[in-house]
Order: sequence, then structure tokens, then C-alpha cells
Amino acid sequence: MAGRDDFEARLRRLEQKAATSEAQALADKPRGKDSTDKRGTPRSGLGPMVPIVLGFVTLFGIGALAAWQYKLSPFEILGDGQMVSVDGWLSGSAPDAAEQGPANPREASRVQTEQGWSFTGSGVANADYSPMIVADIAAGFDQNQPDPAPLGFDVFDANTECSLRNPVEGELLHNIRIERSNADTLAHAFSTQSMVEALDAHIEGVTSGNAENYKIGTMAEGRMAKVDVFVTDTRAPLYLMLQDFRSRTIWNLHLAEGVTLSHVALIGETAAVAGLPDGASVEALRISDFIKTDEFGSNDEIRPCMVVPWRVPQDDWIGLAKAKSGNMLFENQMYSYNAGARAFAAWYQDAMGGWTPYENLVAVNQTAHVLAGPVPDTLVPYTPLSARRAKIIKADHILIGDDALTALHDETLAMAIGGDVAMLDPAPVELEVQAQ
Amino acid sequence: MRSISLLFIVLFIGLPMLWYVPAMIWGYQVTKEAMDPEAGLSADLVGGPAPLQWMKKNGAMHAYFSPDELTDRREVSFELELELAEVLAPGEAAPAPDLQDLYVKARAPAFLIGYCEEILGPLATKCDVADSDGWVSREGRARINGSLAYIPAYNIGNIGEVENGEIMSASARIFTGSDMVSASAESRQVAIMRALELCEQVRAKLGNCVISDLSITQTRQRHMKEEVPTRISSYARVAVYADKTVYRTESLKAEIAAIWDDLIN
Repeated sequence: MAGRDDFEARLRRLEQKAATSEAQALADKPRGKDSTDKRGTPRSGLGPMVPIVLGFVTLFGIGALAAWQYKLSPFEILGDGQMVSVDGWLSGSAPDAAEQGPANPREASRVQTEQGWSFTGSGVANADYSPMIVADIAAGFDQNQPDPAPLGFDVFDANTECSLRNPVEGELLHNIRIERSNADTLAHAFSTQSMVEALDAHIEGVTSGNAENYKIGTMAEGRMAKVDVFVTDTRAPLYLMLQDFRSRTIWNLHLAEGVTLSHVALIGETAAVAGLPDGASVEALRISDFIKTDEFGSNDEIRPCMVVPWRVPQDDWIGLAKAKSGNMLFENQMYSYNAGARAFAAWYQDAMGGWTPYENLVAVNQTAHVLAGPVPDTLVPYTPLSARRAKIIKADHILIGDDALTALHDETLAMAIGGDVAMLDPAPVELEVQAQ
Repeated sequence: MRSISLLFIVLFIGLPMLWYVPAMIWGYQVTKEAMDPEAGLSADLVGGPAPLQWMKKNGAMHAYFSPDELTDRREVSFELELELAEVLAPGEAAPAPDLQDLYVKARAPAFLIGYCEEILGPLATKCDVADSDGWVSREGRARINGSLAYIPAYNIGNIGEVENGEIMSASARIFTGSDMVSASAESRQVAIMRALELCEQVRAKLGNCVISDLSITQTRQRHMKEEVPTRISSYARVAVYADKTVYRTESLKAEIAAIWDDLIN
């Protein structure tokens, strides 16, 4: 106790001393220019502002310099790109905004992205990436007319052998390779496992006790997207190789007069095709049947059945320019594209009897319309997806309509719970107070 | 050029000055209040009587000793191994194999809340499912793990008079190894009553006690390749707010172990 008393006495003496000093200092302090108090109490005046202002100036300056140095924005429209070799992407030149083409109303239908050209709205992807809209090549298309889903689906088995029918003599091969479609439909195709994982996440969200938990309402990822393919090459019977990477695509075929389509091969995840003419055969490889992961480095190795259709980075990709400027994120991403494309090409050539994946190629990032062949002399008649049935590879669940998707999840969850959904988060139980 | 200079002055000098002046005034006020609490205003903003402030400031204390809230520091936890049919309704067909995990997980909360009836009484006045999980094991049995948060019905003692207090905890084995008995409502009640007895003795000696986790594990055992009925193993973890100048965690554990030995012998 003596120790504590000593301490408190010392503390009181220190406080009294501080109060006296402060009062003395205030009394001595002249009013006017020098109002700086150097004893630790809050100060005022312009002195401390100097480093703050300098700090602001430096930060703004760095920002302005960076903005001036890197003129690129993710949506800059650049000139047409040149193909580069698989190994040569680092030696190309960086895109230059000053080389942009003249203003063109059709330019709005295409945009250069970090992963290459994307065509939006009614824009049509084509072999030389030139500005083009559906009205340039087809009749009867209305961009404002909803085209939500096909009339129905006819199921066929995916090819699980990782082989492909080779083009026969006299056939012409056309490759359409896209990262993803940007025209969602109301069709859904997914596995039971995918739905179980989604409902599992939903249950975790509900039982977390947080009504805002992001997992609540999770449903299976299986929405399909549409790509119109305008086929115009009349030189010979055609073999169409339709490849997509990150969407579940319904390829809607529109054949120009005089076109003979002999075979369609689909590479993607739960792909479908509509508008297949009589006599044309179809086969499909589901990527996840052969490649289980899509992580950095997983597709790099040349190996059997590397069916992921990576595209070769082009000189005009913004991501390539960023990689060249030392951005590590894009260096890694472009490495993945290059290594993946090299491995895909090796498998493709082996599976296709020497034919390369660059034969009559249209390769873009995103699009909803593609031209396979030259611009036609007469407009190709357009048939909306909603006027056709589509052939689709087998999936556990194939649905049309978001309501049907929700209903399937609700029904499955209710069966799993064995009763009302409220049983996932039962009310607390309290001891009943006995009335006296 | 003149307008650019003006913009520069406004942006780089005017705005920082606008920020600087109120910041200095606020800083001065806070410093003054800290040096002279009687003139201060900030303390009043916290609000509430001193004990309430003390509880609010100490999240862990609140979680262990709050008298009227369900918290994650007072739980009865379960690890249950069941036949799949025990999770299904009578006469309900077994789901397809790829849906079985989902069925067990979805039914785990409703299954666990049923155990609240066994907890209410001497142990708890209120009970709720804190977390739950479920799946089907490789042997084809339903596994349900989870915990029930509870509000104590027992006296947790006095924590207000503890000086230099610190929360310490220790465990006692209620049913383990050869002591394991067949799983039943009766054996679970025995586990609860033993945990309560332990906590009561600890409170008598140290002034306060909370059963922070009573774990009950019911699994199938195999003996010479033959299955025997489901057995129960159980541990009780009690928490005490004790004077850290008197007890350290190890000495408290020894103290509680001695109390437990006295109880069971």
C-alpha cells in the first residue's frame, strides 16, 4: 500500500507542476505571430501545414504523372491487330491510342479489351476483326426482339473419348473460338452436383445467423448463352469447329444459300447447337470431362486431351500491352494464354490429323454473332433461336426459364429439409415458467 | 493561366487548410478532455453506468458471463453418428446417393434443436442452435456436428469483486475410454449433471464458474470387428474469472482437476 501511495503522490505532484507550467506559459505567451506552443499541447499556425501541403502535392503529382504516362484505358479502340506467333508475343509493339481509326458508327459494336476484341450488341465477330453488324450480312434480325431460349432441347451424348472426326478430303475447316458469349438466354443446364453445392452454400448462409450472408440464395451456375453463326463459305462442304471457353453456348446456325455443312464439332462446357441442316453430323467434347481445373498453370503442359480452347494473345490486346509494361498480373495472364494455346494446338493437331486450330479462324474475347466465311452477296435469312429446337449434350438438369430454375432449387431444398424451410433456422427454445 | 493558379491554390492549399483547422480544434478538445476529465465531454458519449461500460468494453467477459444472452462461449456441442434412417421421417425413402449429404446437412439444425429439451432445466433457461453441419460418412452413416448456445440456469457466481481478473479455463473428462456408456437421454443427463456439479464446486472455491463447452460425442464403436451400441464420450470445459496474481492457467487446471477427482471418488 505504501508503494501505491507513493506513486499517487508523485502523480499528483506531476499534474500540479504541469498545470502551473501551462498557466505560466499562457501568461508569458505574446499574442501575434509566434503562437507555437512547443510543450506538447495542440498547436496552430502555418508551420505544420508545409509537410501536409507538400504531401498532397506529391500525391496529386504522382497520380497526374501516372495518368499522363499510361494513356491506355480498358475501353480504348485500337487499330486492327496482327497475328503473332505463339512464342513471339513479348516482341510485339504496344498499342498506341494515336493510331485509332476514324470514327465509324459500326465501331460502337466492337471494343478492344485486355483479352482481345469483343463485339457487343449486334456486332459480328469476323476473321479480320473489322467493324460489322448483323444488318450488314443478314436479314430479319431485330436486336430489340427478345430471343430468350430455343423451343426445346434434344439431348445427345458427349464424346468421352477425346477424339474428333477428322475433315475428309474436299472439306473445308472453319474454327470459331470465343472466350464467352455475351448474350445470355433463359436456358439452364447443370449437374446435380452443382445444384447440391449451391444448396449447401445456401444452407450455410441461412444457418450463419446473418440475414445478409452472401451465400443465401445461391443457385447452380448453368445459364446458357447464345451465339449466332452466319456461315457463308460456299467453296466446299464445311466442317465447323465451334469452341468456347467460359460460357455454356447455344450456337445458332444461319446458312447462306449454297452452303453445305457436313459436320459440326463443339468444344466447351455443356454446348448446344440449333439450326443444324439435315445430313450434318454433330459431336461434342465437354471440357470438364477431361480438364478438372482452370487455375494458373494447370493448362500449360502439352498433354493428351488438353481441350481448353485458349486463344493466342495478339499485338493489340490491352492485356499484352500491360504485360509488356511490366504488370505482373498480366504477364502471368498472358503467359497462361500462350502456354494454354500452345498445349491446345498440340492436342488439336494430333486429334485432327494434322489440321491446325488456326485454319479459317475467327477468335475473339466476347461476342453474340460470328461470321464464318466472306461477307455474302445476298443477306443471309435470320432465324431466331426461339423458333428452333437445339441439340444439347446430356446434363442432369436442362431447364428453360428462371422460374423453373428457382422452383427446382426450392423443391429439392424442401425435400432435403423434410419440411418447411424455416426448419433450417429453428426458433430458440426457452424453459417454460411454471405458473404458481 | 490565372484561373489555373487559382485552382491550384484552392486545391493544394485551401482544401488542406480547411481540413487542418477543424482537425486541430478537435485534437485540442480531445487532449484537453484527456488531461482534465471533469471538463471532458467524450466520456459521457459512451453512456451507461460503470459496470455496464466495463462489460461492454470486455467482449470476452460478456460472452462468458452475460446473464441473459446466447453467446458463442457457452455451448453444448455434439458429434453424432446415426443411421441414415434416423435422420429421415418414418417410412421416408432414402435419397439418391448424390443428395444424401444435402439431406443430412439440411436436417441437422432441426435434429439438434431437439436436444434443447434435454438441456433446459438445471443447465439452461434458453437454448438455440449456434452452428450445424451434416454429411454421410464413407460407411454410409449420417454424421451431424453442431452446437447449442445456452443461457445458464445455474448460478455463475460473482465476478465483480475479482481483482486483477483474467478468464481461465480447464477441462474435465466426464465419460471417456472405459467409462464410456451407451448413448441415451439418461446418459446425456448424467453428463450434464456431472458438469453442473463440477462447476458448482469450482464456484464454491473460486467465486464464479461457467460451463463454456460441454461436448457430447456419440459414435459407433467396433470391438473385434463386431459393432457394439453407440457409446457416449463427454468432456466439460469450465471457465473462471480468477485473480491472475493468485492463479496461472496451469495452477487453475490443477485446482479444477483436484476438485473433479474429489467429486468422482
